[in-house]
Amino acid sequence: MGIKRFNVKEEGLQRFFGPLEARVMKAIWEHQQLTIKQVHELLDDQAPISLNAVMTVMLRLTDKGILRKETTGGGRNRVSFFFPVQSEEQFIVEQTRVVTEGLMEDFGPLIVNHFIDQLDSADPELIKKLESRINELKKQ
Amino acid sequence: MTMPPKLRWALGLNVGLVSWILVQMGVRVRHQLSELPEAAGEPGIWATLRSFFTQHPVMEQVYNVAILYCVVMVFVHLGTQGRQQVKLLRYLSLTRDERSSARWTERLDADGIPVIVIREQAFVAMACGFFKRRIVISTGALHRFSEEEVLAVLYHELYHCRAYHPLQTVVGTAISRGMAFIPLVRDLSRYYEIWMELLADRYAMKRLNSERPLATVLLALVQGYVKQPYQRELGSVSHFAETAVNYRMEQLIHRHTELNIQVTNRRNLLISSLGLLFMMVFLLGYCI
Repeated sequence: MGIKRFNVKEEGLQRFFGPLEARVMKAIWEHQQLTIKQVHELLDDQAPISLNAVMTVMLRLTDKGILRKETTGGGRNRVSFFFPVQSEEQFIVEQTRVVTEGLMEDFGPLIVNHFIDQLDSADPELIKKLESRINELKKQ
Repeated sequence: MTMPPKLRWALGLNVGLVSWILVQMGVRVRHQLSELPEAAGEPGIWATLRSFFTQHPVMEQVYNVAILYCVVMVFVHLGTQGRQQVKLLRYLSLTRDERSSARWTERLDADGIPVIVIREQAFVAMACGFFKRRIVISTGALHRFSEEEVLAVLYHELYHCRAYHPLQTVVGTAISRGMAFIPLVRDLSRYYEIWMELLADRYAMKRLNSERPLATVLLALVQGYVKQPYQRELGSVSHFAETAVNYRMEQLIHRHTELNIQVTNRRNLLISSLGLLFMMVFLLGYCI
C-alpha cells in the first residue's frame, strides 16, 4: 500500500493523507461502500466541493491500493462502488509500523541499539522453545 | 556487566587490526607524499592526486584506490550519521510526550540519562545519542506491556547508553565499511554488536532478578513480526541465522549456558589474510 507522505505534526488520518483524501477515507470507512457521487454528496454537505475533485482523489486512492473499485451492471445501469481495502484501525496500525520501520532503517546505524533488530531472521524453533521456557517460568 | 574473556580478545584483536591497517596506510601515504614531484604552478592537492594515480605501477594504484575508498567511506558514513542525528532529534521533538517522559525518567532514575516517550502506536525502544545519551520509548510500547516488562526494555537500553554503544557502533560501522577489503574487521564488529545485545539483556535480567519480563517482550515482538504476511514470503522457511535476536533467545532459554558465537568463517579469514599480506608487501618492499 503506497503511502509516501507522513506528517508527524498532524494527528490521526491527516498524518498519512492530504485534507481531502482524509475526508474521503473517513466517509468510506463510515459507510463501507460508496459511489463517487455518494461521496461527493456527503462531502458537499459539509463544505462545497466539485465532483471532479472528489473523483480525482478517489481514483488516486484506488491507484495507491487503499480503495478497491467494483463495477456492477451494464450500459446505463453501470455503477462503480468503492470499498476500503483495510479497516481504519488496520490501516493506521500497518502504516504506523511501516513508517516506524522506515525510520529505524533510516536511523539504523545511528540508533544502533533498537530493541527489535533483525526480527526477520528469528528462528521458528527458538521461538517455540522460548514460549515453553516462559510457560515454565510462569509456573515457578 | 563484565565482558566475557572471548569478547575481550575479539575487541582487542579488532582494535589492534584496525590500528595496524591505519598505520600501514599512513606509512604508504607518507611515502608517496615524500616522492611527490615539484609541480610548479599547480595546487598541491591536485599534484598529489595526479601523482598517486598516474605515476605508479598498477598494483600500487590498486592500493591507493583502497586507501581513498577507506577515507571516502568513513567520511560519507559519518556525514550521513550527522544528518540522521538532526532528523532524529526533529522527530523526537515533534512526537515527545512531556509528562510521560518526566514520569519514566524519574521511575528509571538513570543518573541523568533521560527517557523520552514519543507518541507512536508502534513499538519503538532504543538508545541513541553519541555523548548526550537518551533512551527513547513509544507510547505504543508502554500501552502494550506491563510496567515490569517496560522496565526490562528500559534497563536493556540503559545498559547501551551507559556503555556508549551508539557512539561505538557508529565509529565501528564507519571503520568496517571503509575497510571492506578486510572482512575480518566487519566480522569482529558484528561479533561485538551481538555481544552488546547479550550483555544488555543480562543487565536487564540482573536488575529485575528474572528473565521472564524480557523473554515475554521479546517473544511478543518476534511472534507479532512473524505473523505479518507481507513481511515474509509465503512458504519461506527460516533457519538459524547468526543474528543477535537468535542468540538473545538462546540466552533467555538457557540462561546459564555459555553461548558459542561464530566470529568469522574460513572464506573471510582467507580474504583478510591475503589483504593484509598485500599491504605488508608494500610496506616492506616500497616504504622501508
